[in-house]
Amino acid sequence: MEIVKTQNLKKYYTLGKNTIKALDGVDFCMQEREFVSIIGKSGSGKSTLLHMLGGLDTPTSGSVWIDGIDLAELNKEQLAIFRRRKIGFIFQNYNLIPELNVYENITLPIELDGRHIDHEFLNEILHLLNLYEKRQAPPHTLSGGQQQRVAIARAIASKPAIILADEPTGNLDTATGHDVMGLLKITAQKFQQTIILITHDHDIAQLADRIVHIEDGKIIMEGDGYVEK
Amino acid sequence: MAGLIFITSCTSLAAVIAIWKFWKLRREVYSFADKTDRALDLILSEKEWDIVEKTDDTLWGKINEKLHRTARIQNQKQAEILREKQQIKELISDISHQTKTPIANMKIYLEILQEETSNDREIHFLKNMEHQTTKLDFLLQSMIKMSRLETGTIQIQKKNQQLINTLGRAVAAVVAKADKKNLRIFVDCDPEILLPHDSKWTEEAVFNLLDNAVKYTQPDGSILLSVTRQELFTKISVKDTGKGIARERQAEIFTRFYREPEVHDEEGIGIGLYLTRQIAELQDGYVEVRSARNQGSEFFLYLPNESSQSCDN
Repeated sequence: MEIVKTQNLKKYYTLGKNTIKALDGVDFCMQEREFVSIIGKSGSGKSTLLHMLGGLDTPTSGSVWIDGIDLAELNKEQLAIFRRRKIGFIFQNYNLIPELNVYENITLPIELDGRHIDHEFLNEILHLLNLYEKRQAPPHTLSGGQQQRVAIARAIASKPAIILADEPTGNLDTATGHDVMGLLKITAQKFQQTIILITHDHDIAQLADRIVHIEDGKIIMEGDGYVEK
Repeated sequence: MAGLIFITSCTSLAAVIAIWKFWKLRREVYSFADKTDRALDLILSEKEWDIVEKTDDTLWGKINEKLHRTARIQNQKQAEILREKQQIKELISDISHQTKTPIANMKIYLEILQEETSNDREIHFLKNMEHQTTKLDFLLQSMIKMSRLETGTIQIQKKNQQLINTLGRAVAAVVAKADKKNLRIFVDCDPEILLPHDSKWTEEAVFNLLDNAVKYTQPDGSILLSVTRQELFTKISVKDTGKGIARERQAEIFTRFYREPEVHDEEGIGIGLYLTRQIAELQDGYVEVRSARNQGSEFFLYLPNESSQSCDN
């Protein structure tokens, strides 16, 4: 099933007299449970694409469908609820809340949504991400790699349709970054998650089933993914 | 006056009752939503349904009944799929068992024939036939392994043990072949490293990587097997000086029956890397490749330093 689809997606910005084409006709499609890397230099449009997919920004023209829903048809409030339920975000700077401990950070989005917390499921995630011993710790006592693992746990805990990861290894050293992404891959597989990973790092991108190269707002090359799952 | 007091008390009583009713309704709605949410969570995570409630004639009673039925249907379908997988697995292992003896017999007859004839042309054909028979045998063996790994009938037995012993056995299995091509194999592994892993299947996974390295490296090349301990994973790396793999094909090489277009003459069926990936995933690990055309390849097998106690599905 197609979980993500964009059709002729365009995003133009006007800067004085110039028009900047951040995205210039992107047709992108993703199957459920797929892990796709989007790779490109800074300014290639990869972050703009991620923002469009996450409903954080509206396109100039073209459409985005997530899980069968056309994002253009949602109003602001619906979009916020949509993001909370369907999308898990992982950012470069973790975005953990310092006043809450690891466990509370992970359950926060579920509580905000007024949903019942599945503690058994959370413990499973914590074990898999090697965070169980640290569940009571405040975020500032953790290393960068551990904090990013908490962010991953938080993204997975609310069982979103897709996980969007924007340069998640940007603040980590190479080995730790690799470890963390390896765990993301394994965890996503276990819980049958779909992941879009934005990166400029070829080694990290390599972990995905499929790599999409983006340049000047266009998809220039697409490698094949696994046929079998 | 008395009438007024009566009316006032009546209305206030009515108001209290209305508020109480409203409050009760609200509580019911909340409890209903909460129960439904819990139940759906259980269904979604495919867990055993243990909220057994008496069937009464409330809204929750009705929904509960239907949710139960949904869960049951889902579980039945799941069981059916498992059963079918099991049948396929049995079929494959039956086929392989039944073909084993005929193939072995064919090999013997081919050998006898080769000894008894002196005609070059005949010997040539017989050699070809022998080669094809060996290939068939190998293919069947691989198919059994694959079907076992896929249907999950193999129990991965993780034990905390020395990694070097496992690697040693994998290397020993390729030494002869490497020797023929005059390849040198270097091993860089701290003998002290203990890792929870399934020795038999990890050996198979590493063997596949080494076997590929030997196959696709030109004579006089070298192969390096090294182990690095990272924060969460232990990295087993197999690096060769072979022909390398073009970047756009690197995701595909781990798929079943995939073969690089230009190596079709080499023996093999394109199953080694697929098995390696499968073995890694069963142990909560993963595989990776780094390579460029004509610059050799490096394959990584990552296995977790600690096995997670939970999630044994």
